[in-house]
Amino acid sequence: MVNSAIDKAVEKKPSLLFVDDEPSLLTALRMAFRAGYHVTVTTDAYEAIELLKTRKFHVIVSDQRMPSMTGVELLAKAKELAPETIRVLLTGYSDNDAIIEAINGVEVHRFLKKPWDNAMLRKTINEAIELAYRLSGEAAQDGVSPLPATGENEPRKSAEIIPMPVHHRNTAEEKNATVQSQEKPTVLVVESMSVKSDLFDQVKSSLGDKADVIHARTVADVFNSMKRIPISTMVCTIDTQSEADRLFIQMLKKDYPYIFVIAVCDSTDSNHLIELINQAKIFRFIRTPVKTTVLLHYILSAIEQFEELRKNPLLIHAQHTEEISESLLTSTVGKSFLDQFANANKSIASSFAKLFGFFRSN
Amino acid sequence: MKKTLQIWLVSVVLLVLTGGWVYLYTNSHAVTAEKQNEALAILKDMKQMDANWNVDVLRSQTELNLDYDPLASPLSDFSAKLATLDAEAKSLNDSSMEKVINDIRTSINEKAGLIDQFKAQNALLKNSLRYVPTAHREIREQMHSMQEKGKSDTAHREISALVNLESNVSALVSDTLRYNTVPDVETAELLKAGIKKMREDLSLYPDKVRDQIDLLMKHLELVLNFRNQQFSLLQGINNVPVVSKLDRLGDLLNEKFDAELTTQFIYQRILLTYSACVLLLVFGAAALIAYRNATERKRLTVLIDKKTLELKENEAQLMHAQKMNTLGEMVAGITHEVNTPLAAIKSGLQTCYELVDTTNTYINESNAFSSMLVVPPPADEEARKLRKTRLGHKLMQVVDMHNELVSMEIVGGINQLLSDSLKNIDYISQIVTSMLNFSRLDRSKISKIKIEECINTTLIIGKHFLKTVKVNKKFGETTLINCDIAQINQVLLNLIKNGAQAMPVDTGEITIETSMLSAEEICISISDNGAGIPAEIQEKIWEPFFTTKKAGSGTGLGLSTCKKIITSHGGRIDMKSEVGKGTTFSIVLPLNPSGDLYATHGEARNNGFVTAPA
Repeated sequence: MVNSAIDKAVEKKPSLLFVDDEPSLLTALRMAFRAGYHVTVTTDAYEAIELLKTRKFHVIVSDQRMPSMTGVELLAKAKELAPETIRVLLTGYSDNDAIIEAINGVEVHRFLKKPWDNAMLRKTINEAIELAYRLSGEAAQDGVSPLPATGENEPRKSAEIIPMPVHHRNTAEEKNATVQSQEKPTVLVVESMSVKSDLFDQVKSSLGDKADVIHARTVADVFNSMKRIPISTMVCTIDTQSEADRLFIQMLKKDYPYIFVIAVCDSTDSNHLIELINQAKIFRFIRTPVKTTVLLHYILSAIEQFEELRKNPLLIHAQHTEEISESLLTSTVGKSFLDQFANANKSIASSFAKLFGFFRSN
Repeated sequence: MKKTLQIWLVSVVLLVLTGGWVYLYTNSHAVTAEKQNEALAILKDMKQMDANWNVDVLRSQTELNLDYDPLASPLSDFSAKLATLDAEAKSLNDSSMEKVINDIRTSINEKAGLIDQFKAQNALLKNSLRYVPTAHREIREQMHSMQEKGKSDTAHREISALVNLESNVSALVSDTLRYNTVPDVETAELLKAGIKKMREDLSLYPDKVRDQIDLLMKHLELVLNFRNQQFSLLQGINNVPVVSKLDRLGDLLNEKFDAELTTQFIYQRILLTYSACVLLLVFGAAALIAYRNATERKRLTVLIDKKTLELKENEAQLMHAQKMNTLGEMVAGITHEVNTPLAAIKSGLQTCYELVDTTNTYINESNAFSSMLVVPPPADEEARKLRKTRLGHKLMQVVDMHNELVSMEIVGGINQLLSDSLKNIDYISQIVTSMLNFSRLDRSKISKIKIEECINTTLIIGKHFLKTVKVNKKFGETTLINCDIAQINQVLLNLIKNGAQAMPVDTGEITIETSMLSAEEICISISDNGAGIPAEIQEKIWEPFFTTKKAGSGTGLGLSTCKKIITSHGGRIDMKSEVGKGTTFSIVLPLNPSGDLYATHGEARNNGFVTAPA
């Protein structure tokens, strides 16, 4: 009796793959996920690749600095072999170039820093697992959560935040929406008022008539633009040092996960980078000076991704972000943003609905 | 642009000055006495010629010259000479001189004319003078013969008349001759009267002599006339102001010459002052230049001193920057190396907490179960049944828990985590020690060590970039070396890192060898099988700030500082490289470093009292 319970549990358990060249670290990881997960560990990246070929994993966690290949390289392979496996990178030594490469090239979903807090680790891994389930469509069918009830899971705010698309067929709105989806995509270029740059011109000239390009300079501008016309791609200059900048992007992505953000920044503080990725799911990073060819490539990628998303709405879960810290939300900037978002959301919602042919279910 | 302008300006000024000087010089030395002397010589000649001419004329007059050539030839000579002077005058464009010369010419022509006249007259005169005595003799003879004849038959009166006649003639002749010699006015009058009387008395004379006397009279008249004229002619000839005119010309020439000399003198004066001024200017300029040179030199010396100081400071800063770099390198290495064991420890211990908690729960439940068992069963059947059920449940719980703990191998797990944590703590401790060993912060700067120890310490510090690289150590038997250990570590880290970064991934190999080159020298070589260094930049790699890495990643300080460190130890460092094959750096270090090293560290080499030289 006892055994069958365990067997049942094993079948249901999410499977995790940990790769690191330090065995004691793997032991610690294994022990942290001792109950309710199916854990595989290896110190060898090549072995990990073989494992990915033969078995299905929900999440793969890899260290960056390893002898045979870097974490980014391994995760790139993982993306090829098992695109539905959520990729998490462990970094002990901030390596900005590697991080940016990880985002731009490999689409790492989350970053973890060494040393970590076990609770934080579990939360991240659980979210990753949920993502994996959502993406593969293995939604909780019998209402039982695939995640072990360790009591550490937070209530599923995620379900509330990402609106599940609800189809309303045969409405006039939808007919309009299908017509509208044939129209040109719109790219919003957001630049700061104080910094002089020709980003807008660059985007406009490189896109030509592949897409409409609008300009925004302030938060109000952004909301206004979004009210007028649905935005799917945003090229935004971010000052990674500015808390307000980061918070805004995070909140934007939280409320509008459909927007693919290409961030343009000159300094890359690794902490802030990781924060931005984990909490704002930045699509791509470009360092100034911006190369037009790269910019164009990323914008087109974003537009492509959005098309994919429209065809397969489940992909929206991949855009799921971490919680924004309470302290940030209750700060003065945070509060003002919350207000602005609340005001704007009402009017923006309809334009987005047109884009998707469904309504936002709040 | 300004420079060329300046040069042009100076050249022009110099040219003008030189031109002026040359002008002044030529003008102050232009006057040569040559021409003047020539001219004056010509004049002198002409004067002489004129004098000779006069003499010749007189000679002609006194019959010392029988031919008249000397009277004619001067003319052509004069002409020639005048022509020369004329040419001279023309060349000087001197109209006054020309005028004077023409004047002279006129006078000479005048003189020539007069002399011609004289010549003609003189000839006739001479002719007459020659004739007169002869004629007179003849007449006398004739008259004598007549007298002789007459003595016999004619009257005495006729004879005395004849004698009178004859004496008249003689008197006339002698008067004439006397007049010829001294042509004074009284004699002329006498002669005139005498000749007139003779002519009147001619009928008195005998027929035979009448013609002759007539002729003689004619001749005497001629003599009289010509002699008279000759005097004035001669005077005239003498008076022709050739000499004065020549003198005038001479004076004119002298005047001119003097004027020229005066101007020349003035020019000379000017030249002198000019030269003095220019000289002053030159000296002034020279002095100015010298002064400016001196001040410039002084300024440059001060500047050089300042720059040298700056340079020294910069060098020190460079060394410091490199040290910082190495420190940064060390920190980077440490951070990464330490984070992993830290993560393992933290996670492990947190998990241990949980596991202990779980164990605690189990203990509590077990305890609860035991306590339930201990309580004796109640009498009541109902209560008994209840107790049994409860016990059953509890047992199930405890057994489940137990099984869970067994399945997760809790004790083993906790032990493993704790043991791992301790091991990792040791590892971290080792890293910290390596840091200290590497930087030698707590030790004396220069001390003895085995070079292999340095290499091992450095390899630990550099572990994080050596992960993908295979390191071969070929250590020989080496003696302890006295050196600045921190600096040597810095060098080793630099070289090893360079090697690691040149590597292809996965197949990279670094080989480190140590050996004794000689009894007093250690040789260390660090080779990699990386990309190699192209021949054209092999010399440059030792330059500070030279780097082949992308902008912003390397500072390029490393190798130049390494070289400095090694040379200050009295050693040397070489590099051999081949593109595609790899690079080898060889370091040779003396067992005891040169005195410089101690000097730069401000330490004195302490000889132990036992081994100190006596």
